[in-house]
Amino acid sequence: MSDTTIALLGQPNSGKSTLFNGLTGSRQHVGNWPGKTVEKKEGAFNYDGISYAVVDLPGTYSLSANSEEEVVTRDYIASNKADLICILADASQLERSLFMLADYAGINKPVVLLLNMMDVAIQQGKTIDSQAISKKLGIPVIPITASNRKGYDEFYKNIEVSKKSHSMLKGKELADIYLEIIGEPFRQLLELLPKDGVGAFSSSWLVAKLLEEDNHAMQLVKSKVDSGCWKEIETVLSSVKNGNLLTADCKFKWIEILLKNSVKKPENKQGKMNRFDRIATSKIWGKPIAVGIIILGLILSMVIAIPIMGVFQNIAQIVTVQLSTALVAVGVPKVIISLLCYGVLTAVTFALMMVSFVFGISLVFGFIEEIGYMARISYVFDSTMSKLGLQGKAIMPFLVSFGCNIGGVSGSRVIDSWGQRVTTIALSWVVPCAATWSVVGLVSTVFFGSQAFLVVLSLFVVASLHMAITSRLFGRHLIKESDKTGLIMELPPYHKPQYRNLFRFVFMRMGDVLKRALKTIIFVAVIFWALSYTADGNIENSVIYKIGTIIEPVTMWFGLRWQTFMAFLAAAMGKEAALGVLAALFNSQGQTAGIWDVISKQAAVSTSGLGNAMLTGISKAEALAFIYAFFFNVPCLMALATTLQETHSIKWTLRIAGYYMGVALLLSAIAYHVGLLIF
Amino acid sequence: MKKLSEVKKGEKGKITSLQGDSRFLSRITSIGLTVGSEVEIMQNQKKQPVLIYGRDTMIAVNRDECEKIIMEVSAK
Ligand SMILES: Nc1nc2c(ncn2[C@@H]2O[C@H](COP(=O)(O)OP(=O)(O)OP(=O)(O)O)[C@@H](O)[C@H]2O)c(=O)[nH]1
Repeated sequence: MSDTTIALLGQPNSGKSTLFNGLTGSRQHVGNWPGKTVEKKEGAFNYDGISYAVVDLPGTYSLSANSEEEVVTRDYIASNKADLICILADASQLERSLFMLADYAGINKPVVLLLNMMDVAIQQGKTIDSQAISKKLGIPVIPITASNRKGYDEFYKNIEVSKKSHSMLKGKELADIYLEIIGEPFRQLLELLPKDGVGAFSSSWLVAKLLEEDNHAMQLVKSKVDSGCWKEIETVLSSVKNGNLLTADCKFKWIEILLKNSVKKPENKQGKMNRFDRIATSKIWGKPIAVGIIILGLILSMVIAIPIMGVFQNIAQIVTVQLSTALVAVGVPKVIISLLCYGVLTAVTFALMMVSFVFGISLVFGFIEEIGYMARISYVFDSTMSKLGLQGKAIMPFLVSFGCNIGGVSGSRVIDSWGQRVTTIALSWVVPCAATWSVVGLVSTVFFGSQAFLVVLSLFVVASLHMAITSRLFGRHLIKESDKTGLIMELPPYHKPQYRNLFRFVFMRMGDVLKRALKTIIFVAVIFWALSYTADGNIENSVIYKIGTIIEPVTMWFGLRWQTFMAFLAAAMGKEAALGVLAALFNSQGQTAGIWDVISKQAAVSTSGLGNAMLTGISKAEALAFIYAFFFNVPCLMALATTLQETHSIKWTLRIAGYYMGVALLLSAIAYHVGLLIF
Repeated sequence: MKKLSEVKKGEKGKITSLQGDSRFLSRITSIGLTVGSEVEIMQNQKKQPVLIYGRDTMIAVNRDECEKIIMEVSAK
């Protein structure tokens, strides 16, 4: 148990994540708030012999109960779980970012104000008298630069003191401003409400929320007063129009008074928008630049990842050979050797390769996000992506998926809303990766020659439909009505990249990614290995062959013979494997490579030999069915593991995987029957 | 008096009224746009959210939402 629990609260871009990562390092746990589609980040750190738990509350602009994030945040604050709430404000845009503090004023829970981005404020020539502000507020005010961990001392020292002093933001001054500007209705409501408010919420805070037509506050008050009183409250409320505008006015007035004489800033001489931003947000150039940068990012990630993958692959090969020779020498049974060397070691190699790629993607796209460009991508692609119910940023995972779905899924990390992220991931699986094309290209040219392009065209049309339907299906559960209101978003100024923080954070994450990837991948790989294991290398002796041939009458509904069905299953492990499996199965006379050998070694395949063998083995309609089943299948085991990593939900990962397998078979059935009519 | 969606790039002015349901009003005011705020239009192109600058911050607002924001243009 921790001695002290602190919660971080702040508007988006106030530097909450940076501080959270800086404080907790690798001691983090990410999950969801119980029963919500909102991510919960918790962490821990020690200072001076005291252990602290840190909760990173969802980044919201206010404490109104309009979105799930806001409700979660508010409920958490009202609960007694945190000893201290730390509100972050961006010192470089202090007036605007203090809105959260103004919205908090009147909640009776211990609080401190952190003025973050002090380095930027200083660079702008601003001087902020935090002592004076602290005096006016009656709570500690701590200047901080979240990106510089060396400067956390003042923060650490103040935390324990603040917790003990139990200083609260009374909100008396704000209430006075409400009284002055809103006048009579405010006074009447104040009298109608319980004098001491409800729980942590003071009566003036509740009145403001009532005026803002905040549903949760209404329910709360209604449950605490008698019905006659509630009627009166309703009458007063109905006399006030646009309460939100009034209270916001008061809050900004309060901020203005608070900052008066405490903040000095020079005339803003800098342009508000630099040349690059003018072009990057323009209608003509915005999209091409964004696409160009994403593609460049993908290439760069590969440049980073491929050498690392190569090293792992080589090591794995050496280890496999050494280990199997050693095991044979000591007389370990063949089946154990196969399990260890082919099943488990292959899985480990897969996991290492996946982590290499996730590493590259996290680094490159973390960088793009860090400097602030990701918000521009969101802006220029907003209207396009909103058709799918997604944020503009979702374009990035989709484009990256054309290279590799693992990268696409891992890139979806930049999408801050969990529901949106899971939907984006579910959609990105449709995008065919580079490896998909090698198989689709081969099979379609072998069977359809010059008409192969028609097949590819049909795939694209169906893929678009798939995306449209999938976005509805998944969005319905994952994207709340409240998220669908049109875009209102801040485009933060460009930041100097904080390389050290970025590297530190990405490196720390990789350990966790590897651990989880190993679990998932070994689990699935060993099952698949067991199914395809044969002592003599003859496929016909494997369990999977027996099952495949027995259920062939069923798989033929989908137009899949046992060989193509097998390849379909193998493709869920890795798309590259499908060709090898087909080769092994169709040339099966005297072929000794088992299915698993092909998956683990990704053996080179003679394409012409395979083409001929397939032509004699299956019909055109069956080939079409296979192309469809293959194209719309689960991208690969590693993409699945990455999905589990980014959604941290087994339930949703399995749902997506099950959905894809089901839809792939459905589409192959349709393709097969259409094929039977045509050919 | 113009709707925000009709104001041209480079024009400056004051927001004179905000309309819409309480959710919209809560959202737009909490990001810093209130009645009386001084804003400058940075980008306004068809089929793209409008980019405005106010309270030291660049803010993107969807076109539909811009219909609900009225401003008085003061200078170019
Ligand atoms: N110069 C400087 N940059 C900072 C500081 N704190 C955060 N940043 C940068 O500000 C940007 C936003 O920080 P985040 O930590 O992502 O902000 P957040 O509040 O978590 O925002 P969301 O992730 O959108 O909720 C990042 O590019 C950070 O590198 C700081 O103290 N100084």
